[in-house]
Amino acid sequence: MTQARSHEFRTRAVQALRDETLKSALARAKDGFVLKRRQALDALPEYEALRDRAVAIKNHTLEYLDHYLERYEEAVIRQGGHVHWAENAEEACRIVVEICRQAGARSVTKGKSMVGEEVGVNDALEAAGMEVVETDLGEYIIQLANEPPSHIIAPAVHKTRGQISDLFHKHHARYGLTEKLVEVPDLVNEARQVLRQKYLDADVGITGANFLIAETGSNIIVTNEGNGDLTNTLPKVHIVTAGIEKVVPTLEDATTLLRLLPRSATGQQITSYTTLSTGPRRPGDPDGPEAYHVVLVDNGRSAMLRDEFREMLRCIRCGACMNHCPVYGAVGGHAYGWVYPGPMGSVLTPLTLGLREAKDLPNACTLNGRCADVCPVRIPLPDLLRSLRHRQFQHQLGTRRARWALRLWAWLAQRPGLYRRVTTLQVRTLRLLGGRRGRLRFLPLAGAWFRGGRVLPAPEGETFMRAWRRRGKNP
Amino acid sequence: MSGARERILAAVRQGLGREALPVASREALDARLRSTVEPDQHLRPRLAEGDIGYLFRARLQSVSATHEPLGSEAYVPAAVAAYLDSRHLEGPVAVAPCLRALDWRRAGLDPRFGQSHGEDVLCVSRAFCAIAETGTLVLLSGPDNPTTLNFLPDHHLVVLHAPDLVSHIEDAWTRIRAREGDWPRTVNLITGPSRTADVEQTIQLGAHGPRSLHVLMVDPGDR
Amino acid sequence: MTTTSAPRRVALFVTCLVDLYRPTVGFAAVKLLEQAGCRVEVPETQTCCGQPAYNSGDNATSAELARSVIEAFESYDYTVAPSGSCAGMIRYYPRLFETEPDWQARARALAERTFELMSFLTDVCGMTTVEAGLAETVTYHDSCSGLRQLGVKEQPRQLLQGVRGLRLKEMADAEVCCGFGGTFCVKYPEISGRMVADKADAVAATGATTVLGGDLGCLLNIAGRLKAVGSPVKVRHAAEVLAGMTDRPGLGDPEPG
Ligand code: SF4
Repeated sequence: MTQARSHEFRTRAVQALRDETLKSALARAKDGFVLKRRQALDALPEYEALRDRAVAIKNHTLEYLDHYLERYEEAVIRQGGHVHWAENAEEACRIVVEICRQAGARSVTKGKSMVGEEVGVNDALEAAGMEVVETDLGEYIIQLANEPPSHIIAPAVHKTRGQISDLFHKHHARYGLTEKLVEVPDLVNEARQVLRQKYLDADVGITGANFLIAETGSNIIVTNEGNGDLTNTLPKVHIVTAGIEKVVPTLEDATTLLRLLPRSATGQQITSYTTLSTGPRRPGDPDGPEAYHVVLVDNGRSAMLRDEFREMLRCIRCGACMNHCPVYGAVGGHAYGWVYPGPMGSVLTPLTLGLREAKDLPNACTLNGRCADVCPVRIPLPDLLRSLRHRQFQHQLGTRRARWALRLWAWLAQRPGLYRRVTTLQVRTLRLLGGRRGRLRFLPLAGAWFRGGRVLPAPEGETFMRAWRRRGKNP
Repeated sequence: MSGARERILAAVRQGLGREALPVASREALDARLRSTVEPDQHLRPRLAEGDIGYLFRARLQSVSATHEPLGSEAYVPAAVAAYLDSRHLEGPVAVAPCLRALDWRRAGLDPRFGQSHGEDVLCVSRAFCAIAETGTLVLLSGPDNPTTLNFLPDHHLVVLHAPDLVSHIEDAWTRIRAREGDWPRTVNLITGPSRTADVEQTIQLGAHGPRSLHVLMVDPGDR
Repeated sequence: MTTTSAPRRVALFVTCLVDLYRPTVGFAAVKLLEQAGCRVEVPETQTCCGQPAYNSGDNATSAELARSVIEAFESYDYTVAPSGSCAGMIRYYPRLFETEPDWQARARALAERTFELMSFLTDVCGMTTVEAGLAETVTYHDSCSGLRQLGVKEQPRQLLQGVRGLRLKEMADAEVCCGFGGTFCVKYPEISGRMVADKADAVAATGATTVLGGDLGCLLNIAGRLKAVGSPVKVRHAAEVLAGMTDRPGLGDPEPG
C-alpha cells in the first residue's frame, strides 16, 4: 500500500499554507474547475434527475454486488480475459507483479489508476526490477518529482509551469533533450516525444477503470490525452486494476454515470476518449493486447458495505468535492498525506488505513456541506465525516483537553441557573478586557483563535437572558 | 487466488448482511442485465430542435474537431490528398483495410493498409457510427479498422456515413448490439483530438494522441 | 403586519453566541417577529443546542442537551433562532434518538416547527418588507448551514430590499465557508485563518461599508479578521438592520466618543 503520512496532516497543512507557489496554483485550478462545472451543468436541465438515477443505479448494484461481480467475471472469461481477486493492497501488487513476470516484462506503462496509487503498484514493480512509466501527463510529472498525486483528476495540479520546466530539464537530458523549455505547448510536446517511445517499448500496460460492465465484461476508461488507449493497445499484455465497487450492470447504466462524470470533473460533456476494452485481441485483429487481465481489489471496500459508509462506495472519483472544498483549496492535496485528498479522501483514508492513522482528516472540516451539494452521486460527505468523528469519540481518539472542555460545557449547559451566572461573569470579564476598543487582541486559553490572524470582538456586556429578564418581558 | 475470490464474495455478502442470492432473485437480476430497454427514456438529455446533423457538426466544432462534407465515399482519397497538401504534410499514411477498395492511386496516394506502428503522419479510419448528443465518433476494432490508427498519428481522419449518425449514446450501444458477432474487443468513443490541461490548466491539443481530428462526412443527399 | 387571526406563539431560541455576545440581535429578532404578528416568548431554561458536542462526535452528550431543548420548546407553535446553524442542529435532533422512538417522535415534532429567523419571517409569516432604513452599501455572507441545510438564500435578500437607502452588492464566493466551523476555528486556526482572510478580502473588494450575515459565529470570525487588518467595514447580523437597530457599533468596533 502506498505509504501514508496522514497523521502529519496538521504540520503539512501549516507548511502548505506558507507556500505561495502552491497558493497560486490552487487558486487557478479551483476557479477553473468550479466555473467549468457550473457552465456544463447549466446546460443540462436533466442534471438533478440524472443524479437521482445515478444514485439508484449505484445503490442497486451495491445491494447485489456479489451477483454483479460474478456476472462480470463470467463475461470477462467468456471473452478470453482473466480475472484476479485481491483482498488487500499486498495481494493486488503480488498479482500484478506476477503477471508482469510471466510476461517477461522489463518495461511497464501505466495509464492513470487511483487504485494503482492506492495499492502502491509502482513501488512493487520497481522492487521487482521493472521500469514503470506513468503516461498521464500529470501522473508523469509527479512521478518525476517523486510525489504522490495531489488531486484525483489533476494529479499535478499543485505544480506550476516553472516547476514542470525544471523537472523536464533535469530528467529529459538523458534522452538528449537538453534545451530548457518554458512554454506549455513545448513542454507537452517534449513529454509526448519521450513517452511515445515508452509506449512502443512497453511489454505490459496497466490502466484503471472508471466502470466495469457486467453485461459485456468490458472496462471503461475515460481520458483526454489518449495515454490510456496507447497503454491498453500497444503492449502485449493489458492489466486493469479496479476496485470491486466499479462494476455496474449494463451500458445504459454506465451511460447515466458517464453523463455526470466529466461534467462534474472538468466541465466537459464527454472526454476526448471514452474507451471500452473487452478481452484480448481477437482472431484476425492486427493490434490490441494478446492477454487481458483484471485485478479486482477489495482493500477495505466490502467492510464499507456494512453501515452508513456504503454510500461512499457510490463515489465515481470525479473530484468535484475537492474542487469545491475550502479546506482543500487552502492546503492542497498533499497535506492529506495519502492518495485520496479532500472530502472523499477524508472519509476513505480513515476507513482504509484506520482511524488512528488519519485522526485529523474527519475533523479538519467545517461541515459547510458544499461537497455534498456538488457530489453527482449525492454522497452525504459531511454526515459521514461526522460518523467518523463519532467513532473516534467512542475510541477516545480526541485530545483529553478537548473532551474535558466539551464535558464541562455540557455539564454547565444542563444547569441553566449556574450557566447564567457563569456566562454573566464571562461576558463582563470579556467586556472589561475589550475596553472601549471593542475587541481583544489576546486571551489566555483561547490563543488558537488569535493564531488565525484574528482579533476577538468584545461582547456588548450583558447577556441577552439577563437583559430580557430585566425588562420583564416574559409573561 | 480462488481462495481470495471466495473470501471477497463472502465478505461482500457479510457486508450486505445476507447469504448468496436465491435462484429466483438471480434470474430477476439477469433479466435486468439482458434487457436493453432503457428504464428512463426521459433521462436522455433533450437535444436542440432540428437536424441532428447540424447539432453534431456544432459539437465537433466545440471540441476543436473539423469536418467536411463529401458526396460519395469515392471522394475520400482526394479529400485526404487535399488535406495533406493544404497542411504541407509529408510522410507515411496508413488507411483502415475497410477503405482499401477506394481508388487511392488516382488521388496520387500510396497508403499502407493496416495498423499503425507510430511512424504515420496521418491515418484514415471509418466510424461505425457517431453520436450527435456529444459530437462523438464511435469506432470498433477489428481486422478492418485497427485501433492503432486512432491514436498514433498526428492527424486522424475519420470517414462517417450520414445514415450512421444517431442522436444519443444509448443508440450507439443498440447499434453495436444489433450487428453480427461478438461484442467488439475495443469500442472507442472519440470526441475531438487528444488534449491535456495538466500544465497549469492550460488546454493543449495533441497530448499523446492525434493533434487534429477531421471528419469526412459522406452524405450523397447533401449535394 | 398580521397575516393570521390567532397570533402564532413563537419561542425564541436565542443561541448561546447571541446571548453572550450580541443581545441586540436577540431583541432585533423579537421586534421582527412581533412585527410579523407573532407572540414571542423566551424559554428561561434554554442554554445550548448541543451542536459542539454533535460535531465532535459526542452523540450521547448532544442527545442529553437535545432533551432539555425539546422539553423547553415543544409546547410552542414554533421555535425560531437567529442562526441557521442552531436551527439546523435542532432539525438534526431526530437523528440522535434512533433507538428511542418516543423521544424521536418528540424531536421530530420540534424539528418540523423550528426555523431560522429570516426564512420564518418570509416563508412562514409571509413578511415581504420591513420598516427600517440604512443608507449604506452592504454585502451579504451566506452561512453554510442556513444556505445548504435550510435553503436560506433569497429570504434575507428579499427583506433587505425593503430597507430604505440600502444597496446590496454581492461579493465573490458569497456561498463559500468563512472558516468558522464551530470548534474548527480553534482546532485548525491556521486553515481557518486562511479561509477567513479570503472571505475578508472578498468583502473588502465589494467596496461595501457593512457586511451582513445570519449567523453570529461566522460574523464574529469575519469581524475578527476585518478588525485585525484595520478594515473600517462594519459587521452586523442582518436582523439588526431589518429591525432598524443599528445604533450600536458593529462587531469588534469601538464605542463612539
Ligand atoms: S465523493 Fe462525490 S464529488 Fe467526491 S469524487 Fe466521489 S463522486 Fe465525486
